[in-house]
Amino acid sequence: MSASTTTSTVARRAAALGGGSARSLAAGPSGAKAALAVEFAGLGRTFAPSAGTVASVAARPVLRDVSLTVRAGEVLAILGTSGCGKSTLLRIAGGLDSPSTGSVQIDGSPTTAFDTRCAVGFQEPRLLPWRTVAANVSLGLPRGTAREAGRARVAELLELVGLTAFAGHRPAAISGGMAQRTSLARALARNPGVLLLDEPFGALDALTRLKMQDLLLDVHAAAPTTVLLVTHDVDEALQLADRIILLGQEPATTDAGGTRADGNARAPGATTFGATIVQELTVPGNRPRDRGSAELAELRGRLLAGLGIDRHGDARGVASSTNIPHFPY
Amino acid sequence: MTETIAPNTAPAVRRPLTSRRSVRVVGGLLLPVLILIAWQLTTALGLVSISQLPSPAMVWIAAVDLFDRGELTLYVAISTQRVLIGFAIGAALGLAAGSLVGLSRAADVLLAPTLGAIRAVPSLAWVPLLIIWLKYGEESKITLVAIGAFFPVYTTVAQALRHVDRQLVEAGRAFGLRGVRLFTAVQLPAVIPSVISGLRLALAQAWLFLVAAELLGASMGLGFLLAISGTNGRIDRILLAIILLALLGKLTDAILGVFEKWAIRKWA
Repeated sequence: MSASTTTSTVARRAAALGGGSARSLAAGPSGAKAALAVEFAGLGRTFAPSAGTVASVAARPVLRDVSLTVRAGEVLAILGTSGCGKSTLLRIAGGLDSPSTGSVQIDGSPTTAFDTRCAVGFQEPRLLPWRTVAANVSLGLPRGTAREAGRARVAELLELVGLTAFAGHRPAAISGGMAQRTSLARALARNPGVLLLDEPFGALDALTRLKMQDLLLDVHAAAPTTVLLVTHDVDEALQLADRIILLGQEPATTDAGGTRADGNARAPGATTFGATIVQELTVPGNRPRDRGSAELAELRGRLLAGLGIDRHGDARGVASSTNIPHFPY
Repeated sequence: MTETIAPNTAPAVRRPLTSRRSVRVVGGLLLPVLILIAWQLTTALGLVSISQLPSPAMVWIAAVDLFDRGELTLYVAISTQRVLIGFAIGAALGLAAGSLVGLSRAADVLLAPTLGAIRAVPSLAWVPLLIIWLKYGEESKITLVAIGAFFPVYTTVAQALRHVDRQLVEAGRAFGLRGVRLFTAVQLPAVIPSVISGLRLALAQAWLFLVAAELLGASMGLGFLLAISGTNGRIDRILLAIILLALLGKLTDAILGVFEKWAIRKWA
């Protein structure tokens, strides 16, 4: 796909999301930094017992021994149950938190506090209520951006996410989906080498979420940055990611087929030792993927099993375990 | 008591009457007018001796009399000036101290207990000390008014800054804001509505402290008028001073109220 078709697709998608004009963008998002690789090495994070708790409450390990290399330009989905530490992993990558053990390197150098090479899209839009949509997006511009260049970039990003018509609105006057698109535009304004998305579509309704996923794919195609996407939505991970890691409790209680080896329903999120990577799989095929693909359905079943969810395959006479091998075959 | 449910009134399709401007003005004036009528009646019918409660007309005559002597304007002007200067100084210091304590843990640990203790001192306790240190001049009154205005601002600002949405602050940091830039871009706008309600409290407190200062040591001003009329038994002038204080307090508060509305529209 050539650059011009990509951007016109983006504009069309954005327009379909509502509000934006269908004009195609003159150029793709300009000035994007090259995508950067991220490397986690033996990373662990333990939270000290918070003040006010009884003294006997021990420190709470959340993550341990996470080692992972994310290639430049790759979209990596981080799956896990609620409270398993996936957001913590993301926050550490962005320098919003620091690891207790191990290290994170971006492009070969350690992350700094609030690393300028990263941009974060939070689960909540976190927009400044007293600023307009455009002014909120401009918050993401790198320091020292010239006023004119900044204004042009903001306009370009608003076009990209289909919010040109809402540039002058306050966050309170737009819908949740629009607010989340504003938040995405703000993150993109930073020209990040690594885009960190923490369940960015989690609070949106199902249809808006699907549209936002397509928008994200188009944005990524137009400016191929490295994306770390935290989600609890298996389908979202399969639709968007090149690779999926599943965070959970060791010892690994899943076999290749996806059923729990011990067969009992111990909640994987009940952290006692800290979560680590229990599954890692490469999603086959190129994006955008067929949402109805049987192959993805199989992977979904496997991932759900890893999350402790029974796929209820028995209900239609299909064994819950499967013999489809891991990709690459 | 058993739980009772209010009868379900018909749903209001129109804008409620109580939100209309004219209704608010007339409604607000209703009670003062009623009080004035009742006052007039009690004095006219001789229910209360006019030596105890002068009639409204007598208070008006006292006002005209004082105005003709040039004292009324002077007293109102000097009192207003003391309040405004003291309020400005106290509010500015309160804003600075509140910001410091609200933003810095160290400042909170070091300053908050002392300031809390100073705040607990009743206003009148300062008067003798201020008079000895600063004499009967303007400084002593303005200082007392400033003390009065300082604490409401300090308390509300420190509290509000401590409760600024952490997620917004974190988002600000994540997008490279630090120090002064973070303060002006995120924290300050977030606390502006509370700062202004703090300012309104401070203004009310400023008038309170002004009267305390003027009652106990002044040669002019509304508080002085109260003190001297108390000694002379001029109840008409006492009532006049009380009415003027009510009007001035309400007027300055209304000005801040307009400012507050504007700021809330802009920042909240």
